[in-house]
This record gives sequence, structure tokens and C-alpha cells, in this order.
Amino acid sequence: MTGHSRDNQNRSSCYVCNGFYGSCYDEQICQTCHLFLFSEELAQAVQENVHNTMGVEDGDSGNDEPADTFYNGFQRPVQDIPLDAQIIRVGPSQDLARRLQLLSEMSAPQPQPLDGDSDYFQELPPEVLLTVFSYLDDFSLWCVSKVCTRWEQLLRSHIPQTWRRLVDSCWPLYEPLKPVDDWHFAISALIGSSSCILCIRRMISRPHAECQENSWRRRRLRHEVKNLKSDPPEGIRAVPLDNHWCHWQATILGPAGSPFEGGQFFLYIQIPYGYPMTPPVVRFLTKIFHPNVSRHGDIGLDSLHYNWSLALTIAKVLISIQSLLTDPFCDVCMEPDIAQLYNNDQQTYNTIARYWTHRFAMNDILTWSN
Amino acid sequence: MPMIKLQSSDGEVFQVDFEIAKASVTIKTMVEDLGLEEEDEEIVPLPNVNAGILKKVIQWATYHKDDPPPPEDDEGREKRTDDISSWDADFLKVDQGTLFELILAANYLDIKGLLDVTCKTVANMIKGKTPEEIRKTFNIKNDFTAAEEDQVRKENEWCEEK
Repeated sequence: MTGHSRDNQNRSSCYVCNGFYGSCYDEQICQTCHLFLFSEELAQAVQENVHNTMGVEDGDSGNDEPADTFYNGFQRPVQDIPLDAQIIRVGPSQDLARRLQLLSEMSAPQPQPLDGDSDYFQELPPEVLLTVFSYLDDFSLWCVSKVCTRWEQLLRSHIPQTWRRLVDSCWPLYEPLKPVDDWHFAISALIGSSSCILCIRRMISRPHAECQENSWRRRRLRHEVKNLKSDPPEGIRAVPLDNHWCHWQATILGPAGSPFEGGQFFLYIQIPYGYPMTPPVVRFLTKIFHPNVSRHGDIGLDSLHYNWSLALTIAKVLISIQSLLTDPFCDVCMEPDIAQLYNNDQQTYNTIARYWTHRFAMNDILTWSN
Repeated sequence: MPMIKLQSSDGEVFQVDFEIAKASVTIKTMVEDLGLEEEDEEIVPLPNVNAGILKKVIQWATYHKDDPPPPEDDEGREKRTDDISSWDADFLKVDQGTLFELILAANYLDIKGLLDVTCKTVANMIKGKTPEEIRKTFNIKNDFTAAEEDQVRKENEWCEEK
């Protein structure tokens, strides 16, 4: 189509470091940059301070809590140090060290050095290949099935039930309108229409920090889960993926009248342990052509960052994202090229956005039969 | 102690303690079927394994000769790959060619323990990589493109008509 869509889809090097930290293997962003920019850490030191004191306020009404807890948290650092120190030791600091090391090495991580040009896998008989694959998790199996036709055929015929399981566990909100007869195709379409395979892997592995959850977070989330189930806002759904309620999936239906109409957009939400003191991380999984959504899926919405307020809920955030789809905000945005197109040539913008919607956000309607 | 002679594909003969060679079900069955005795000068030919690899296999089997027999697989549970012993990890710090030849040898000789640990090592090399990264790591040719690109092109046409 136009330069925009091509530009965004086929990049040969990471858009952050431009290849400095090695190949990004057809993704938008290389693993080093991804690890550093999109942290896996769910708990940070400051937030720890907050929850250690959280239990005390159990009986209070919601409105008074923030000031109190911040105050208490910062006034009593001495009591909190041992626990903090422990948490930092087991989790984040190691991760930070690993990330810093990656950053200081140019072009890391590299694949194993290649010896010659031989593909040793070719010589393995199928039963041995299957033994190797039997040690892989479902998502790695999908990656393997996309490596070459031989592997795909082998996996499709030997472990057909994997794909259904992967869809059910990772896209619980995916509801095809027609019965799916080829789940491998369905999962490939879902992963293929996502903006970041590394985020999908994280969503699937669902890491969580070993730290105590504050009761405020739990109560608040329980309330939100209930409301989202009984009375969801129109065109919006969200469900937690894990028991800690750290990782969520949400969908937003493209608003009527916008070029996104008819599309079902998947989002990945990460609720930190500091929630609701700290805002959730919300990201589009489905590729979308929009000035306020980066090619990695990040959303440029002030209320998700510095303008976060305790009054906001997951549902409210999703509603503001939905309205952002109708009215892009072009003065400050994630993708200036798209904003420029929106301002100067709205017809082309609409065409491309509609094309992307057809291509990536209609996996529930365009079902697959081979 | 009974010894047995194993001959590699390139003609080198290794004399191995029978207790160690028994780790290979193939050799064990062969010896039992042939009814070899201690004093026999019979040589067991192993046409699929070269000397370098056979040496490594014997080294592995010697180190693991007192291991309990590996447990039977229980299906349905995701298998662990993080339980490779440090000796095995060091032993398998070899180039890809050797690693894959070890897999083939373990498969041919039917040494379950060695097959498991080598397959685990390869699985660990695959884990956490994108399809393209796996192809680059193992030099695998992408033979999908033609069909897939066709499909994308068709989708484009369909859209541009609208």
C-alpha cells in the first residue's frame, strides 16, 4: 500500500537501537531494548513501601488511603528495609544487572556461533525431533512450527491439541463466530496480527514477583472484576489471566464511525503490585494504525502515565482508549508520521487504518479453512 | 571384569567394560542375542558411530555407570529442561555438529539418559527464540515464504478493491 504500512511491518532492524544490540529477527524491537524499555518488574522498591503499610488501613474508606499510605510509607523506612532488601535481592536487581550487562555489550544477545552452513536438524529422524520438541512449552512449540514446513507438518500431525490449548489459555476473549477447524491457523493469525511477539511470550509466561500483595489491591481488583463481568462498558471486555491478577487481557471493539469499526482489538494489561497507587501498563496486542499507539502497541494516554488518578479503573482506562480511537490526539503522539497523515490527508489515513483493521483485527469474523 | 570390544565406523576399536557398555540397549541386546562370552574375541561393529563420537559416548557412559535407570516418562506433564547436571552441561559444551551427532548416536545405541540430556540441551537452545531466530541459530532454510507471501498478496488485493 503506502510507505506507512510497509514501513511499519517490514523493518530489518530494531526501531529503538537501529541494530546496535543485534538482530531483532523480523520483530519491531530487539530483545535487549525490549527487556530494558518494557520492564518485567511488577514490584518496585517504592511500591513495596506502600504495601508493607497497607494492611493497617484495611478498614478505611478508599478516599483517605493514598495520602496516609504515602505518608506512612515514607515516614517509616527503617521497618521496611529488611523486607525491601530481600525483595530486591531475589528479583529486580538481578534482572537489572542482567539488563545493564546486555546494554553494555554491543550486539548481544547473539545466536550460537554457526558452524558451517549445515542444518543438522535435517539429519534427525522424526521421533528424535519429537523428543526434542517434547521439552518445549506451547508457545515455543508454535515458534518451532513456524520455522520450516517439515517441522510444521510434524507438529501439526503429532500434537494437534496444543494449538487449541494455546488459544484458550492466551486469548480467552477470542470468540470466533464460526467454529474453527484449524486451530494452528487461528493461533498463527492471532500471533501474526500482534505487534510484539516478545510481549506475547511474557503474557504467556506470566511472571510474578514473590512479594506480598496488599489487601487494598485485591479488594479493588475483585470489585473491578465483578463489575467488568456483570456490567461491562459497551464494546469492552477484560479478564485476568493469572491468579495474582497481574496479567490481563482486554478487548476493545472499534467504535462505530471510526476506521476501526468492526475490528476486535486485543490489549494486554499488566497490573503492578502497587496498583492502584501506580497505573496499570496497557498495551495493544493487535496491530493498529493510530497516531497515539506506537508500533510496539504502547498507548500515549496521559492518564496511564503522569496523570494517573486513583479514581480511574481498568474499565475507565479502556473507555478512554476506545474514545481515543475515534478522536486521535495529534499534538502529542507516539507515531508522528501517522499524525501528519491524519492532519493532512484524512482519507488516506482512513483507508490505511481500515485496511489494518481488516488485516489484523478481524480474526473472529474471518475464520479459516484450509 | 568382562570387557567388550566396540568398533566405530572408521575402524577404531574400543575396549569397554561390559557394565558400562550395557547403558546402550542396542549393545546389550546384541550381546545377549549373540551370546558372547567373556573370552570371546568377537568385536561388536557400530557402523553408525565414528570414533570421536563413540569416545564421547563411552566417556558419558563411564561417568554415569552408577546412575539409577532413568524414570519412565509420564505423559501430559510439561517436562523440565533445567535439571541438567553441571557435569553433563560441561560435557555438552561442544559445537552443534558434535551435539547432533551425539543425539544420533544416543538414538542409535538406545541410551535413554544421553538422548534425554542432549535433546534437553537442544530444546534449551530453541526456547525463548522467535522462529526467525531459531532459523538463524540452526541454519535452517525458511521454505514457507512462497505460499505465505501469496496469501498476503491476495489479502492486499481484496482490500485495495474496497
